[in-house]
Amino acid sequence: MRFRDQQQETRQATLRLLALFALLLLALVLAVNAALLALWWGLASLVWRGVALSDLPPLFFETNSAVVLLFVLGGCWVETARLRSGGGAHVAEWAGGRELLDPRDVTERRLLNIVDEMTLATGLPRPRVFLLEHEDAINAFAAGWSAGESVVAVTRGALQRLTRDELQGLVAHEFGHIHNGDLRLHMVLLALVWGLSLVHGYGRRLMETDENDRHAFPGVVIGPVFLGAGSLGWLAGRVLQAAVSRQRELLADASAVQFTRSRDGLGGTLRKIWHQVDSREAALHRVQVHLLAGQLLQAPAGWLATHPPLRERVRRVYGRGMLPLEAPTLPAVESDEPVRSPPVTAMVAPIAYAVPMSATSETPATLPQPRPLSDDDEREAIDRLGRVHGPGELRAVLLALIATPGSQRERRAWRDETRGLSTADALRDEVKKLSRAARLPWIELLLARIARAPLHDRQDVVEAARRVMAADGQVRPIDRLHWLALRHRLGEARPPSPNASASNDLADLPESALMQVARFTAFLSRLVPDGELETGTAWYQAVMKRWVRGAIVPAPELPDADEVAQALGVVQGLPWMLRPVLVRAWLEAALAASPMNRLSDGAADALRLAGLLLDSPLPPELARHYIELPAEFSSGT
Amino acid sequence: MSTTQITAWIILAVLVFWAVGAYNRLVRLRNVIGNAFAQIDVQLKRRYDLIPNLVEVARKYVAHERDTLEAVIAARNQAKAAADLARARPGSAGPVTSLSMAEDVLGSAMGRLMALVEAYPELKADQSLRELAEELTSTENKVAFSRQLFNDAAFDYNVAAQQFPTRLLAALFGFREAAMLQSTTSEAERAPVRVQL
Repeated sequence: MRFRDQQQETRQATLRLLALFALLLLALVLAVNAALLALWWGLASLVWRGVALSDLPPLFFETNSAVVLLFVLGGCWVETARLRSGGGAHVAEWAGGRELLDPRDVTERRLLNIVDEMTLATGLPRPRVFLLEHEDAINAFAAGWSAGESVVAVTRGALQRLTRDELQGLVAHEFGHIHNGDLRLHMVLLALVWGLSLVHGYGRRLMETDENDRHAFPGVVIGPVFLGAGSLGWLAGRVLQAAVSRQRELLADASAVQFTRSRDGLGGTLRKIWHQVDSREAALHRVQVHLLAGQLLQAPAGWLATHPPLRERVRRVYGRGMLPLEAPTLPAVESDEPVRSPPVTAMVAPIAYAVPMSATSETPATLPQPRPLSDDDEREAIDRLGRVHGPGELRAVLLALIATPGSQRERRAWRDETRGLSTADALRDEVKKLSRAARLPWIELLLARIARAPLHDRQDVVEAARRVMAADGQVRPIDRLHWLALRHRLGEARPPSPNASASNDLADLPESALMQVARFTAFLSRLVPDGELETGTAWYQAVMKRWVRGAIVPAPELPDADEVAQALGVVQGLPWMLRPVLVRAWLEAALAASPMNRLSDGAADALRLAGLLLDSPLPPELARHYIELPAEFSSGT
Repeated sequence: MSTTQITAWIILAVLVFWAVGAYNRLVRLRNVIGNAFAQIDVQLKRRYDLIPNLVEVARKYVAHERDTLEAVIAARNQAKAAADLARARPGSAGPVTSLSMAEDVLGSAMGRLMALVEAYPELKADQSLRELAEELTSTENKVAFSRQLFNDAAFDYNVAAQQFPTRLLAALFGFREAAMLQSTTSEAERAPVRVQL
């Protein structure tokens, strides 16, 4: 049987590559020792005549070897523990996944059934299943340290664009990874590469200057040795790691064929992904530039790819070459949609409002409130607003929430918009009672409700919001964010870009995309961390330094309205794995720049809105700045 | 104690350790086979339970196609009775043959029902029919995968029980060779009913 041969072949290839890893480590130790010996020899001959090996400092080789091994293996150990503690479910939630416990429609039911079937076929424990709701690209991943605690996450696009057999092939591929222990192998190798990079970092540290701007003597000589050997080792490690990863993909493909005893399922999936990737690359005219080791070396992209080319995978599955397959949304799925398509925001809600009321009740003390209010007053207001219904009232409350407080002109504009609504003023009084920490959660809730209205009504609300916000003659950055969020949630649903990407690092993005990330970050720096130009610039630098490797971070230029919208479009088109990473980076840099790890109100609002725009789950550090709303409100109509 | 004695004790200890390990491994493998077989049984029962529901949903739309609907129910009852008999008298050839014949009839009746579904768009779009069809497909798949798992497990177990040192142990404790599930009928019959909507 062919798949058994293929499995045998890829397993042997993995073993060979792992042996190469061991050799690499040995070579690194030897190289460092040899270079240091040559260095010592050269320096010593300058001082003494007739240098002999016996004059070497005691424990010369032992120390060198120990330092290298300590960094690589110790680093590997620490990093493995860190990766392991993450846990599969954590990864899936972080990627914006919703655990499928109670399927909402036939397609979700089908996914769960397929997972059950694969559990039977493989005899593995049943993994937890996550759905990546907002992802239109066909993709899936498995995560978790061991088979017992693994998760499988599948994108919505895969659910809608694959036939049952193809979906089965996709799930079987992920089961193949779990079955072959690839998740663990992958994490250990990732950690090992990280350990290798520490040697390089150690060399760089040795060469650093002290506070008097002088180089310490032995460091400046030994440093380059570690730096050079370390970067070569790290590079070789990455190439080897990618090679192992490619072999494991082929092994998982062969395993999937073994489990399903069918090559059409997985084959069809691969061909459809191939088509998506091709059409996307054609659309973007993407130039693949891998910034690597500060542009030291432009490695052929194939060497560092973690997945083999799709053409090759398809050829292996079928035993002959095949063409890509177009992947339209399947009609069987579409007919379901109008019946029960839950609003996008309703699904984010359970993650977003993860902080219980009790935990936040102590935080408002540090949050400046619009006016001193007893908790009871606010709770009453929340209760009343929770009963608001009807499009007119929802609209009035939403507009009242986003109007600039204290602006007479905006209030007048709000009056104009709500003319004819008898309860308008009463609602506005209730809105005024809401504390700052409750406002943004309310806005999100209202957006989720209004999103169920017909497109025409929704566009009407967006237009009204624009009129109210522009009434005072200026559009502040937070106003713009509000308005973008409104447009994002209420505007026409744009077809999500099929962004299948093997890259999981923002640094690997093409320069043009990174430029737009920088632009949007610069826009946010007007609000984060405290609205001051100087601290904003520092925050921007701290964020961008993470990805702009080996080059100088471009100075923040404050973009105009069109540029912001354009940059946002590109950022929203980033692969789904990257968007939460970006939000996380913003938040971490902002927290680092804020006293006592507490964000200013403006910064918290800006980051929460930015996360909403990117369809990214709300990080807990941000969630604790807000008051959770009672769950029953999010289900009301 | 002399060196010889110590050596003898060590060898004995190693032997005991090996025997315990090998015995446990055989038991584990045999349990996998048992589980796989139980799964087949569970899924077959579930399949027999799903079919009447499917027919009831179809009846709402195509009550006039009584012949087809009744044929499915009759075939399902036949197959279920044959399966019960086969379960009660395992190992005897008669019930197994009649089961496979009844499955044959059920398969073709289901095929006609599905062709009927294709011909009536409003029936095909029915939410509960779609859900039932999905469950049925999944159950068919589960039967197929449990058979596969059963055969894989039986294969692993047989290999383990026939390799040299373990073979002695297997003979001693009566680990008999496990039979593989074989298809008594044609390839086409073994293929699950396609329920593709």
